[in-house]
Amino acid sequence: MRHRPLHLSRAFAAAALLAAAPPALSAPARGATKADKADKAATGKAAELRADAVLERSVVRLTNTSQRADWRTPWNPGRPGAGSGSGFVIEGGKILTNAHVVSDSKNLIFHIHGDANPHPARIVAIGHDCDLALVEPLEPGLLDRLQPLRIGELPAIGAEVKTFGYPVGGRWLSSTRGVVSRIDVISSVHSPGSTHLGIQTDAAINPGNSGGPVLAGGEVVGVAFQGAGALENVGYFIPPVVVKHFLDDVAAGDGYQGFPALDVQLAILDAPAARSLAGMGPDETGVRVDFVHPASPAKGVLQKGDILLALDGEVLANDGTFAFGDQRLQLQAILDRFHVGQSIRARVLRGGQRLELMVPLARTVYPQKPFEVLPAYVVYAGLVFAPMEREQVVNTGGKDNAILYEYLYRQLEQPETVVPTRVLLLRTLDHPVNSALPYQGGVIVETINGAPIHTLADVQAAFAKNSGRHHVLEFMHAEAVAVLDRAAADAAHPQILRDYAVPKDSRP
Amino acid sequence: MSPARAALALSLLLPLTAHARGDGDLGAQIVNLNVTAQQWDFAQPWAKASPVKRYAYATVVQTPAGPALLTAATMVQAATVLQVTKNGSNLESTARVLVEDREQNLALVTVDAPGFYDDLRPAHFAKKPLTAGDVTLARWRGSQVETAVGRVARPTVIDSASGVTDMVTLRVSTDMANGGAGEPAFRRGELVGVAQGQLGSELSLVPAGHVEAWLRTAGADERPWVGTLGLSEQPVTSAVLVDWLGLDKARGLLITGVPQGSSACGQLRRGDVLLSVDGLPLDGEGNVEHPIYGRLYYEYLVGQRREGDRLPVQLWREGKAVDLQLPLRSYRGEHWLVPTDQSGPPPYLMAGGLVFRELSDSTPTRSTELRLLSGLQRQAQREGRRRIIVLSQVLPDPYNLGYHGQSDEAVDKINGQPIDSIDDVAAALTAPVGAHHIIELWPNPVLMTVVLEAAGLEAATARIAEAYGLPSPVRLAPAPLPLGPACEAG
Repeated sequence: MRHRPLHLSRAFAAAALLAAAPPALSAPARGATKADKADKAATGKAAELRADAVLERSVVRLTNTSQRADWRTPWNPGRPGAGSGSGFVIEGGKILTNAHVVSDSKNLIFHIHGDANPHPARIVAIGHDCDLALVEPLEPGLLDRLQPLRIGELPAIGAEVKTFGYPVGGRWLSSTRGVVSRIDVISSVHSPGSTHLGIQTDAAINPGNSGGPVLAGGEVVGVAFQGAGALENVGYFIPPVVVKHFLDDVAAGDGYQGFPALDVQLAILDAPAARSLAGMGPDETGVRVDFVHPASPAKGVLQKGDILLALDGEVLANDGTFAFGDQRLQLQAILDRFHVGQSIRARVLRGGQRLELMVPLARTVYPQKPFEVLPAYVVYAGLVFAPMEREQVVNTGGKDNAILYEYLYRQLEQPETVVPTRVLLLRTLDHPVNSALPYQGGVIVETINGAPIHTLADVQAAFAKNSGRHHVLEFMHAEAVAVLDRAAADAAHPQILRDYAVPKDSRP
Repeated sequence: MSPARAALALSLLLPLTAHARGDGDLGAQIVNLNVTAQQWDFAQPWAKASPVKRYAYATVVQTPAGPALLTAATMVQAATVLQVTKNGSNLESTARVLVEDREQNLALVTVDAPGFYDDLRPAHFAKKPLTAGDVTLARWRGSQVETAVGRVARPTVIDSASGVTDMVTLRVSTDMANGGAGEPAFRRGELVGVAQGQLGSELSLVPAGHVEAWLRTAGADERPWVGTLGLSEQPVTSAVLVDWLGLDKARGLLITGVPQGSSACGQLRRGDVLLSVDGLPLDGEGNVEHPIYGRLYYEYLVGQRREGDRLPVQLWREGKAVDLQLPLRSYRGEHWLVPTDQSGPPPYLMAGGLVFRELSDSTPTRSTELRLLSGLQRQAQREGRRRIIVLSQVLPDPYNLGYHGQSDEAVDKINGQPIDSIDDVAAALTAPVGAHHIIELWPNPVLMTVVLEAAGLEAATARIAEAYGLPSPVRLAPAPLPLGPACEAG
């Protein structure tokens, strides 16, 4: 599956890939306006309120101290920051919340409704692709007195729902009410490029609501997780099918595997000529495979030019959607029925033949936004080298032609010439020994002392092996050559680390 | 000198500098040029953009063919009408362009009406090159000659209006408003330069010596093009580079790229150090000591030479000095794979609502740009790679359903034929593959292949041209320039 919705035809493809990192709590702040909806507390509602009172005790407030490294200063551990969100108790003494509430965590505590004491917790599993996480208290049995919330079924459009959580604007539990506005495949703010089934509601979902339950009929019908920028009365929650996928994945052991992807590029076939050229019958519909990522397990099963007619028995329309009740959904929602390692049944038209193929599914091979990791780097004589990875490409804002080409386009155009990794001269820590370099950073290293450079280890080896008087660096798509005096560079190296407070000259 | 005598001397000098000798009849040497210009709309290549008015200035000069009016080439570019007024009158005379030289940013225009020049007087060129001091800028404003003082700040080398070659200009600071439109600059009544641009209070003059030399050949039918080297270079300014290259001191430019088709290709190589050009040694930043203008970037020297000249250069190659004579080639905007400085009608072809055109610097597209990378601005044409053809937009119609949002992707093949020109597009579309036209785009993350029904194409093209107001669905490109000799890139 490609990185963006199929219909996003003109947006520059890198945009989705390079979408800016969201704030930890992604919903936009706005005034609480839904309180009046709940004030018609008719007598018929009294029983519901009593039932809710039991359930709401199981909604907790999580406070996370996160520390996220800065990929521009990769030697630094990053600045600690605090954020808070919501969560709720489920079967097994665990708390379910959003991944973004507990990401890059250094310390995690939670408060139980009506309990003034903070309780330390730890992360059991985290699924960044679906923005869900499982947390447990360090103190065993702490949650035993609370009623675990049951995960229900997908609510219908128009159904009434209630959210519970700890949004900004106060310290204690808050509840809002609304309806299911829309069911669609939506893009994750936390994990740019990930799309899954989501539910839109007009119930207020504000920063701090993240991870809180959305209830209907005493059951969880979703987990609140993000807002929608400038839109009015639009919040999103994660539906039960995605929650169960996450919980099943975690329960299966072997660590979290995540949602599967096809990693193929599909073309919409609205054009009748494109369908007739492919030999599709008048009643046949589907999408064309334009590119299969060389590292995808679909490689060798699906081919460029194949017409994908159906997936898992669902007939695909010419825009890649399938029928879902009275509406349609993008085909990612079909893949989400499967787990990594399984195969999906695909009906394919190839060269006039209609084939039933089993396509193996794996996690996407496209780089995802990293969490809970520290960036790799090598510093030598003030030259800071880093792998050409997603975060570094994001830092260029997608504006550097050479980097964008090597990162995104070479695999499309010249897959046989792709090198799995590349190294950037990220920046230069200024010192007289490196003051005459033609580039201060932002260039891809091609060779050092004649040796091709693909990894940070190559960088270290090329400098270490050289016994000449000079180090010579050459770059891709940049013609000038950088020369260092080896003896002077070696001598300056420790001083530069001290001057710029770089604790170690490399992190693999 | 005593203060009193100095004051007396100053009072005598002042009138001379403010109203230098002969400035009184400047009005007979200068005219106003009212230009109506209209550029092609490269985004809608079948149409021209809205016409614009330009108010420019010209100087009467004597040429071998008689009197003419001298101005900056940028002032007359894309002109549809030229009107001249003189002597502070509003009476307009129609003029025509004789020469428009974008490489020197100079143009000659003339008025054919008999007796037009009778009450005008050609300017005298200053014999001594100007490098410092004050100048008088002059132009007609209403019924009066307006003058302003300019002070020469420094000579500098800039890209010419063609964007390819280099030229020397004098930077002049002035308080004249909205100048740089061909105004002459005088000193002591003699012409010292022609204003070719202004940014804020900094005006740029083409020096009179260059104008005079240019006038000698300007009228020629086969005017030789300015020479260029087209190299990429790296300064040799650090001790470590000097040491690494084995030079005695910081001098010369390290050559880092020699593009295909340039004068240097086959002669100079990556890794050579350019030590001298035309007998003048280069410093570590590529400047030469010019006898008149002082330290100037060496490209200026090349800009003084013409296509076909042999340019003496000295290189540092593998630890030895090497002398070469470089035969200079012209390298015009049209020579490049992505042409620059286009002014003629842009070629295009619309078929079934799909608009194809040449990739040019007037119409860059992000996706093609990043695939051409650093070579984009310096890639010469070569056999089989003369132009990049772009599917620039789709004019929506039921015929092209499915491609309505498609734009700005380069075309690789049509019906199996490689595409290198608008002519290729036209030819390939006459040979469908079975019942379809198959347009393959450069690989991109949006759409790789466009498929159209061959049967409906002609009718759709006619219908869409009519609906969207295209006077013609096609404008083929003029015959391409002959390719330069092939050479190995250094």
